[in-house]
Amino acid sequence: MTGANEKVRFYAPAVLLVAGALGIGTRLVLLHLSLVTAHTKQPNYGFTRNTQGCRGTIYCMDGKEVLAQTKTVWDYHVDAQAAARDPVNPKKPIKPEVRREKIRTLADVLQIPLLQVMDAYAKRDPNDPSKMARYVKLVTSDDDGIHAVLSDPKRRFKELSITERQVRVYPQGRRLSHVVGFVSKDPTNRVGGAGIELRYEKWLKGTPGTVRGTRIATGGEARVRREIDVDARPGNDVYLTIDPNIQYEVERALAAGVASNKAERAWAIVLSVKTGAVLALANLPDYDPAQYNKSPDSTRFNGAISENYEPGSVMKTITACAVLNERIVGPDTMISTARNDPNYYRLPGDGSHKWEERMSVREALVHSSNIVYGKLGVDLGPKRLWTYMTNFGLGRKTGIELPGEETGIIPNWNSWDKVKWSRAPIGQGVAVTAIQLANAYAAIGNDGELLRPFLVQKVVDPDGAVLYEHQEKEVLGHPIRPETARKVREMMLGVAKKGGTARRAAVKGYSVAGKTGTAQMKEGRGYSQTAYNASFIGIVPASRPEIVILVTYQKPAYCRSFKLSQETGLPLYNHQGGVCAAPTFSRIASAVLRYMAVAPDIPEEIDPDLYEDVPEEDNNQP
Amino acid sequence: MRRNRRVKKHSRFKSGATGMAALIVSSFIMLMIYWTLDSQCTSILRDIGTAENKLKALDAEYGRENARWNAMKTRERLDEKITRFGLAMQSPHPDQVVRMTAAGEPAPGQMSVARARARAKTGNMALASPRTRRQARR
Repeated sequence: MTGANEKVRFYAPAVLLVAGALGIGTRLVLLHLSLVTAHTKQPNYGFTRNTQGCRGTIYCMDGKEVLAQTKTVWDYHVDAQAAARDPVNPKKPIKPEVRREKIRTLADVLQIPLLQVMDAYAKRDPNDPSKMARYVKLVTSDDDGIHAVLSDPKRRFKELSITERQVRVYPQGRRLSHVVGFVSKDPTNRVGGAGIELRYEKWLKGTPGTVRGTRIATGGEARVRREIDVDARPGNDVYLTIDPNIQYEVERALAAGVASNKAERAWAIVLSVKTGAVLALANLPDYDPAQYNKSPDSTRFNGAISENYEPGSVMKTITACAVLNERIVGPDTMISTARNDPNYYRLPGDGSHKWEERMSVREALVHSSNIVYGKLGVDLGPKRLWTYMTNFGLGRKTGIELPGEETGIIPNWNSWDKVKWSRAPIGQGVAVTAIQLANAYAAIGNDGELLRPFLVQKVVDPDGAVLYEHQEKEVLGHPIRPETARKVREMMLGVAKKGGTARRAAVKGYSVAGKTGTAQMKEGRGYSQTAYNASFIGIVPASRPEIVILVTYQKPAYCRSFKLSQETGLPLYNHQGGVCAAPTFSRIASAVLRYMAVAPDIPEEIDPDLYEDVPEEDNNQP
Repeated sequence: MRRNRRVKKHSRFKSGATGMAALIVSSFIMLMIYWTLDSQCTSILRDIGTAENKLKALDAEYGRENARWNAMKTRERLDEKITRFGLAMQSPHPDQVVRMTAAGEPAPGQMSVARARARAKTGNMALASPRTRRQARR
C-alpha cells in the first residue's frame, strides 16, 4: 500500500465529514441567529392570528347581579356536499341507512328536531341547485358535553364544522333593558348600540391580541420563532348604582299598573335623596337586549330620560318652593279662587272643581288648584319663576350616564307671553324629562341641595384595580333654603291624606310628601282631550327623606265620567295621576322602604291598637 | 549475526488520525447534544401550546358556567322557586313587632309588649289585640 493511497483513503471521507459537519453547523448558527429569513417570506409559512378580547361585564350595585356578560358558544354547521359522500370512500355516495343513522345520532346529540337535521343534510346550494349546499347552520350551543362529543378528532361526523365565537348575554332578560342597552349583532362591528353598552363602549371593549409566527413543514408552529405574542385583554367591568331588588319591585309594580290602567307607556325612577344615586329606572314597554333587532324601535325608547313632556301639576311644587323662598306668601296665606280676577290675564280653569272663595297656599297644593297657582306664578313673575325652574335643573341635562338624554324645553322667560305667565307655574307650556323632575324633588327632600344623579358606581379593570369611582355626591346648587324645603314638604303631606288628590299614595307607617300631575298631551297645535300623562312624585319618609319615587303613565285609559268603587268610593277607572300613578307609588314605596330597613316615622298607623295608654312600668320591666 | 529480517517499512505519512478522530467524535457528540436539547425545547414549547389552549378552553368554560349560574339566580326564577316550595315569608304581625329606642329599650306605649307579657303570664287570649284574636279563631 502506497502512502498516496492511504492519504486518499483517509482524507477523502474525512474532508467530506468535516465539510458536512461545518455546513450543518453553519446553517444551525445562522438559523439560531435568525440571519436566514428567506423561507419565512413565503406566505404559506408565516401566519398572523388576531384574538378578540372578551367584553367587560356590567353589574348591579356592588356586583350583586350580573346584567351583561360575554360567553363563548359554538356554531355547528354541516357540509351537505360532504355528507352526501361515503365517509370511507368519498367517491361513492353514502348508503341510505348510514345516512339515516347519522342524522338520527346528530339530532340526539345536538338535542334538536330530527326534521331540522334532515333539512340541513338535504339542502341545495341556492346559487347552483344542482349541487348540495356547503355550509348549513344547524344550531348554536354552549353545552360543553355536546362539544366534547362532536369535536373528538375520531368523530364520525367529518361533514360537521364547529366554529367558536363570543356572544353577549343578558341574564336578567328584559329587566333593565333601557339602562344596559345592547351590543350590535353585526359581526364586523360589535359595538354597543344603546344604554351603558354604548356610553361605556371604550371601557367595556376588550383589547385584541396578536400572534405572528412561523409554521414548520408539518404544519405545526415553530414556537421559538414567534415574532409577536400579545395576549388579548378582557374589557373593564362597570358597576351600576341600580339595586336589583328595588328594580325588580319597581318593574313588577309598573307592569301591573300598565295592565290595570291600560297605559301605552310608563316609566318609574327611584332616586336616593342623600346621594343622587339612581336605585331603579324602569320603562315599559321593554325589549330583550339579546334580540333587540326583533323588537320595534319604539320599545327601545327610554322615556325616563328621553321623553320631553309637559309635567302638569307636579310643577306646582316648584312654584310653591319659589313663592315661599321669595317670601311672597306663606303656607297659610289665603288666595282668592276667583278665575275672573281682573288683576290676572286669562287664568287657567280648575275643571269641574268647586272651591271655597278663598284657599290657602297649602290647601291649593293639596287640592291642586290651577287658579291659585296660576296667580302665584303671575305674582312671582316670569323671570323669577324661570330662574327657579332652571336652578332646580329643569330645562337642562342632568348628566346621567346614559345616551339620548333630552334637555327638556323651558323657553327663556323673556319669550313668555302673558298666557304663559299663569300656565308655566302649573306645568303647561314647558316640557321636562322624568329624571329632571325626580332630581328636582330630590332637592326638596335634601333640604334644598340639588345633586347630580348618577348611575355608574365604579369601573374596574380585569385585575381588580378601580379605574373610576363616583365620589360621594356632586352638588349642583342650592335652589332654595333648607327651611323652605321643609315647609314645602310639610305642605305636600296633605296630598296623600284624606281630602288630597292622592289618598292612594299613602304608605302605612310612613309620611309621604308627594304631588300628582295629570297633564294633557300635545295634539297638533292644541291639547288632546283624551291623552294624558298621569304622574305621581313622592318623597318618603317626609320627616327624614330617603328616596324619591316618580311614576308616570302615558295615555292611560281615559275615563270621562268617574266610575266609583262601591267599597272605597274612589274612582276605579280614570286617567288622573292620583288614580293611576299613586297606587303604584304606594306599592313601590312600601316594598322599598321595608327592604331598605327604613324605620317608620308614623308607627301608630301600622296598628292603632299598638299604641294605647299603657302604664310605663309595664314596658320598662325587664 | 545478520539475518535477513524483514523490516517493516513504516510509511512516512503521519495521518494525525487521533486528532481527526477526536474532532469527528466531538462534532458528533455536539450534534447529539444539540439534537437532544432541540427535541426538549420542541417538546416544552408543544406543552406550552397545549397548556395555553387548555387555559383558553377553561376560561371559556368558566364564562359559560358563570352565565348559566347568573341566569339561574334571577329574581323571577327565585320568586318562582320560592312560591313553588312555599318558602314565601310575610311581614310580621304587629303583635310580633317590638320597636326599640336607640338606647336599646322598648319604645314606650307599645301594646304589643304589654300584651305579650300579660298573655305569657296568664295565657289569656283576651289580652291579645283584636287582630290576633281573629287569627286565633281562624
